[in-house]
Amino acid sequence: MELSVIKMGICLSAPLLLMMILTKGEARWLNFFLILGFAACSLSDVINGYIMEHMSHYSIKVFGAYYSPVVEEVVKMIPILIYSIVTRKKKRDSFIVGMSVGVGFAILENVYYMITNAVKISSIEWIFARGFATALMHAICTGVVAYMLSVAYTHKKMYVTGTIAALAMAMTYHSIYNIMIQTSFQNLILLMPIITYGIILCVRKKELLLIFFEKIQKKRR
Amino acid sequence: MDKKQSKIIELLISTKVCVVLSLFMCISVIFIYFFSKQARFDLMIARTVMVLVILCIASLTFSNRKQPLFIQCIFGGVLCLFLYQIWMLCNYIWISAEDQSYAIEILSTVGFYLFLFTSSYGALDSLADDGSKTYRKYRLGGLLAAGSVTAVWLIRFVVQRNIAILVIGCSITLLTYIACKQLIIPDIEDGFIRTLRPYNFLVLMLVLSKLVELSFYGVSSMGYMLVISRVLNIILAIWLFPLACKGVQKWNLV
Repeated sequence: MELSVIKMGICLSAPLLLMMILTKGEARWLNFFLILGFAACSLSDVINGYIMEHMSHYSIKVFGAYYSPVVEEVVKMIPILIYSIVTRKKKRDSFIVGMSVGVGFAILENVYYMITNAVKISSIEWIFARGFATALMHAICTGVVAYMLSVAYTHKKMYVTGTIAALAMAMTYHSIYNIMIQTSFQNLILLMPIITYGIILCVRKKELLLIFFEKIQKKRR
Repeated sequence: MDKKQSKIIELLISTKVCVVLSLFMCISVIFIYFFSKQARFDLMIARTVMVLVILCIASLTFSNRKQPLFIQCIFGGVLCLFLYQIWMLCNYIWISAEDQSYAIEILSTVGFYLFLFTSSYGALDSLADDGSKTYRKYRLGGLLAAGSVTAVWLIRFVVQRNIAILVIGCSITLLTYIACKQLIIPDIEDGFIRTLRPYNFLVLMLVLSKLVELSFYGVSSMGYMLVISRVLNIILAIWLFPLACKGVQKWNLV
C-alpha cells in the first residue's frame, strides 16, 4: 500500500521537477515545496502503515483521531524546519511556503483516496470535501507551523518552545477534523477549514481592506 | 480605528466584564452540579462556551490594532485552550477513550502552557534579565519554584506512570520558572516587568490549578477535585488576556 503512494508521488513529482528547471524565482520555490509535500505524504503513509501494523487493536476511527495527526504534522514540518535552518532569513512568505507543502501533501493524499475509494468519487459531496476542506485543512496546519517557525527564527528564545506549541495546535486542529469527518456532522465540519481560511485571508488582507474602505469613504465625501 | 471600537474593546477587557464572566461560570457550575442529569457533559459545554467567549474577546482586541508579539503568543495559547475544549467535547461524544495514557488533549494543553512560556521567555526575558550575576538570586528563586512544582508532579508520575503527567508537568515547570522569576525580578527597564506582575501572578495560579489537576489525575475517589481544578483553570483563563493587555497598555504610559 505504501509503495503505491510512493510511486504516485514520483509520478506526480516528475513533471513538477521538469517545470522547476524552466521556472525561476518564487514559482520555482513553490514547485519545490509542492514536491516536498508529496514526499511528506509518502513518508507519513509509510510511518502510519507501520504504526497501524503494530497497533492493530485500535479502530481506524481512533487511529485517525489519536495517531495520524501527530505523524502527519511532524512529517509535514520537517521540510519547513530544514528550510528555515538552511535559509536562516525570512526571505519569502513563510506561511505560503508552509501552505505549499500542505497542498502538495493534500494533492497526493487526494489522488490516493480517489484511486482506493473509486465508489465514493461518484458523490460530488465527497469531491468537494476532499478538494476544499481536507486539502485546506492540511495547508492551514502546515502554514501555521511555518509562520510560527519564521517568527521564532527572528526571536531565538522562542524557537523550540514556540515551534512545539504551534505544532501541538496544528495537531489538535487536525485531530478535531479527523474525528468529526467520520461522524454525521461531517457536512458541518467541512466549514471548519473554509472558515479558518477566510479568517486568515481577512487578517492577511486587512491592510488592503482598510485601504479599500478608506477609498470608498473618500469617494462618498 | 474609530474611538467607539476602542471603547468597546476597553470595556471587554475591563475588570467588570471579567468579574461578571467568572461569576457566570461559577453560577453555571453550581447549577449544573445540583440540577443536571449529565453533569460531566454539561460542564464540558459550559467550559467550551466560556473559552469561546474568551477567544472572541481576544480576537476583538486584534481588530483594533496590531498587538505586540507578547500578546500574539498569549492569543496562540487561548486558541490552544479552545481547541483543547473542542477536542475534549468531540472525544467525549464520538470516541470513548480507549487509551487513557495518551490523547491529543495532552498536546493542546502543552501547547497552551508553552505559548504562555514563549510569550514571557521569548518576547520579554531579554528585557528583564541580561544574564548578569546581579540577577542570579532571582533566577534561583525561579528555579526553586520550578523545582517544587516538579517534585509534586514527579511523585504523581512515579506512582501512576502516566505519560500525560510527565509531558504536561514538564511544560508547567518551564512556565513556573519564568513566571516566578518575572514576578520577583526588580524592574529597571521602563516598567516592562512591573506592569506585568498581576499577569505573572495569574500565570502562577494557573500552574497551581493544573498541578492540583495532575495530583488527582486518575484518582476516581477524588474526581470532584479534578472538576474543581478544571473549572478554576477556566476562571483564571478569563483573566489572562485582559491582564496581559492592560500590562502592555501601561508600557506606553510608564
